[in-house]
Amino acid sequence: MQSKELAERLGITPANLSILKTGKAKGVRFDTLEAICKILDCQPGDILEYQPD
Amino acid sequence: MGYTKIVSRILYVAAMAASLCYLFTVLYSVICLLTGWSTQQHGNGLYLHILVPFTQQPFLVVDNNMPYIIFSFLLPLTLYGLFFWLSANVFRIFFQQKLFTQPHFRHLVVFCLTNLIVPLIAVFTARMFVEVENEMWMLVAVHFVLGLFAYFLAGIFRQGLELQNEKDLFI
Repeated sequence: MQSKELAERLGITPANLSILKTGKAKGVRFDTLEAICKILDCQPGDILEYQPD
Repeated sequence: MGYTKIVSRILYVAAMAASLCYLFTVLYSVICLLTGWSTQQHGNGLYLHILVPFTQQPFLVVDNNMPYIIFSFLLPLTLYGLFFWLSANVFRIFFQQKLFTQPHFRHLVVFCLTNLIVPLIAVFTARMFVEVENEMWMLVAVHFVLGLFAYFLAGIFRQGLELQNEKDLFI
């Protein structure tokens, strides 16, 4: 799936998806996280990773 | 918020109309003064009447000397045209979908600086060439206070803009 299509299905702009992908976002809404997991058929742990500073 | 949008829209239209009236008056006066069209001298050339277009009815009466025309007539009219234009820009902010944006913040800063600085400079410059009435200093003070209010409003907008930018990064 291309980023553009994913953004469309998530209901966010491609620019915001890019912010998410590059880690520039300050936070992720539960609604967005739920939509990502639903569309990609995964768990939050599959897409989130803890990295110590 | 609904009432704020209605009131700000009304004030925007009123301020913009006032601004256009002032600026058209300036434009018309400059054309008349430069070409001599639609003007009449009175009082042995002491006064100049700018007439209502295509009539003999006086529209504006001014002293017939250059310093007066520039500093007591054209300058105040132009500055009030500018003031109402900038006021309209400020009122326009309050009926937009998004309140805290960079252009809105800029409008407030321009309005603030114009009210703080321009009247003072204009009156100081004018008093070198013409007699300035005491009421003018009162107007300068009123505009200064208005500028201070706009300064605080701009401060609120700057904080709002930062919060908005942060909020935009919650996706």
